[in-house]
Amino acid sequence: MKTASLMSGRGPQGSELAGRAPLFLFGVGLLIALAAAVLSWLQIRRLIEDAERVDQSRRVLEVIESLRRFLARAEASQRGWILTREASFREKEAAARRGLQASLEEAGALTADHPAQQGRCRELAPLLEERGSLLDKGGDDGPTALRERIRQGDLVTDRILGILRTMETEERGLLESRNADSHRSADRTLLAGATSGAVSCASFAMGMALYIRETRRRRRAEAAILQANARLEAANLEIREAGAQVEAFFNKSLDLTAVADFDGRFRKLNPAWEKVLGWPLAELLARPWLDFIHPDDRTATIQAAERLGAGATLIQFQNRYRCRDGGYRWLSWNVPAPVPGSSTLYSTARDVTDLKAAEERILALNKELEAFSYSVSHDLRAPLRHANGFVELLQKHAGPALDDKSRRYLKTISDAVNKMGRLIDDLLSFSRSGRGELKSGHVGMASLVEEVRRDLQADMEGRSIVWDLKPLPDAWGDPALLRQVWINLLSNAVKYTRHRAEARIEVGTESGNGQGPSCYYVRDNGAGFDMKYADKLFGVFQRLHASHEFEGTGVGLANVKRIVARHGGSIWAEAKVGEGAVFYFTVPLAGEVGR
Amino acid sequence: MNVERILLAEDNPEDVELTLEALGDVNLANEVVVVGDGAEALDYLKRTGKYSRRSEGDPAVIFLDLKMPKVDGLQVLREIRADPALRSIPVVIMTSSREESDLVESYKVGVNAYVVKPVDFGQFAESVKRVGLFWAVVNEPPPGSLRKA
Repeated sequence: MKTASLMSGRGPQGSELAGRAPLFLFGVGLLIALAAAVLSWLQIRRLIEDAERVDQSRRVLEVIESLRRFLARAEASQRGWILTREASFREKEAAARRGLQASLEEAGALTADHPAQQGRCRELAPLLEERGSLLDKGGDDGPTALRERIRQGDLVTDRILGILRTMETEERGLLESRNADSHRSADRTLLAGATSGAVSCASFAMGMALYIRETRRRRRAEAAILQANARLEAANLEIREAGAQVEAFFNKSLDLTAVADFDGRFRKLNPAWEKVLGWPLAELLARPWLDFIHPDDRTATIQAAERLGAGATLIQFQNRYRCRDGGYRWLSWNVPAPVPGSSTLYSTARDVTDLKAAEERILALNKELEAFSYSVSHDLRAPLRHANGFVELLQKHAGPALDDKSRRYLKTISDAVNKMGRLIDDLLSFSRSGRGELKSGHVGMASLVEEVRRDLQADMEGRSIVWDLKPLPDAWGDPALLRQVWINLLSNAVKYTRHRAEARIEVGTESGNGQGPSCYYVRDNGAGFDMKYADKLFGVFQRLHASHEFEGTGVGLANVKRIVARHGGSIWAEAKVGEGAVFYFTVPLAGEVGR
Repeated sequence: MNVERILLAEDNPEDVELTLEALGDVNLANEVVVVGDGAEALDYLKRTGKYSRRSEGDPAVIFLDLKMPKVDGLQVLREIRADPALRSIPVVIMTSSREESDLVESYKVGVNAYVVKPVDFGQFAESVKRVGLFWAVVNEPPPGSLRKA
């Protein structure tokens, strides 16, 4: 059936016409051959007629000749009888006269189609009678009468011979023209035969050629059809297989797959629905889906469906579905925008109830953490401030009365308290850098570095530092957090080059395998560190230098690492003890990230 | 007689003492009235409760701690700004908190200044003195405020 439809689908009438051409040519050839045959037959018949007429003329001439002969014989017999009077001459004369009679009759018959010759024959008959009857009138005439009769007989004979000559001349003319006719006929017959043969051959050859061509064409077309059919068959198989795959995918999916319409009902659901919600599929299909949705989520769901109707795609839309046991499950929907003009929705949903619970737990934990850091921020700092404050007041009040040792104790208390304050501040900052949303935007790294460098001016008092700030590409990230990164890295560079007569600090980017900048770096010629401990560099409270050598809380780089990680980047360092260190980090570049 | 031109709302006695100590250096300690929590602060301002009989006049500035029992600093600030009779009084938040949410919220409600108390007493004293001098001496308070005696 497929084949037929394929053929008719392709069926221009042209090829049918082409298919009939040989038949038509055969017909024409046949007609021409038939006409040629008829023509030949007519021609041959004419040829035969012409030949017959030639023959007829010859026989007429023969008959004229025999008339002359019989006439001479009759005259000779008459003379013999006259001279000898022997009866045998009379018998010979009678025989000659019968011959004349018969020949004349024959001549009349032969010249039936020729009125002039016929007329001459009729003319001859009385003359011959007269000449024959010469002896019959008085047989015993004297010599004078006899001579007269012979003279008259000679006259008749002369007339007969004259007529016969005329007839002969006439007949020879006829013979000549008939001969010519016959030759022409023969030529025409030959020509007709040859022509008809040639035409037949030509049309046959053309028909044959067309037939062969057409046969070849047909064979090719048939081969093409066979091939197309094979392809169609293969495609059908593929489609069937693909269909089976899609069906299997739909049915076996652990996600909840659904085909739905805007009429508010599901059209098709996979068995996962039954597993997750407990309802038989038939029940889910029979009722509007809104029936199963948590009352608090209905408005949002209807709005989501309206957005879909307006051509939007739904990503991770969440709502609650009622289970058969009365509980609810959170489903997270991904629904591609329906094809324009179609109202069919192909959606997948995932049971995210556990995820939701975990999310809520995390939110609660985060809240707790927030409260904790708030409390740290407010409540822990207050007693420190008080301790510090009262130590100061004590120094002020009792200062003159105190001995050096007591004053040193007080200073130690004050230093310890101040350090505790810095630790708390750093920890809070570390805690903050891990929380809250990234407020990402375009960050001009070059100007940020310049600002941070200015802010560090106080730390650089009395120092000789050569800054080499190379051009920096803009980044895409949270400006406040990235600022924190630069503060930490640059202040570290300033701090650890403290013992250099001339500190060198270089900021730039390195390009990874020639494809533009890949990472930012800060290079210094400071104290450096042993690469053996590089893994401890970014841990909280991890320090590679004694605090009497380089002060610090061990939180700064941990903070930097966390910020970089939150931006999806990474940070690493290379260093050599006594020669300096390079810190590299990656964050998204402004050019790489779409708005 | 001293004119109580600075209202200090602070629940912590140590902080109160340190603050007064610092203000004493600039001769402002005598002009401070201290309340221990937000409710008391509102009573003072609205002359209700135990302050129903206090004399007329609004403070030239209010120093407000954020974290206080009963009614916290932000709530006090909200009520001040919601009260037509009080809304123009300058309010300075003085707190240990560096939390951004506090900062944002305070400015949203309409604080005049936000000071984070440093741990180091020297710095703390310096801040308090400057803030006190500015708001109680340099700044021209709104009409109806108590003036320097």
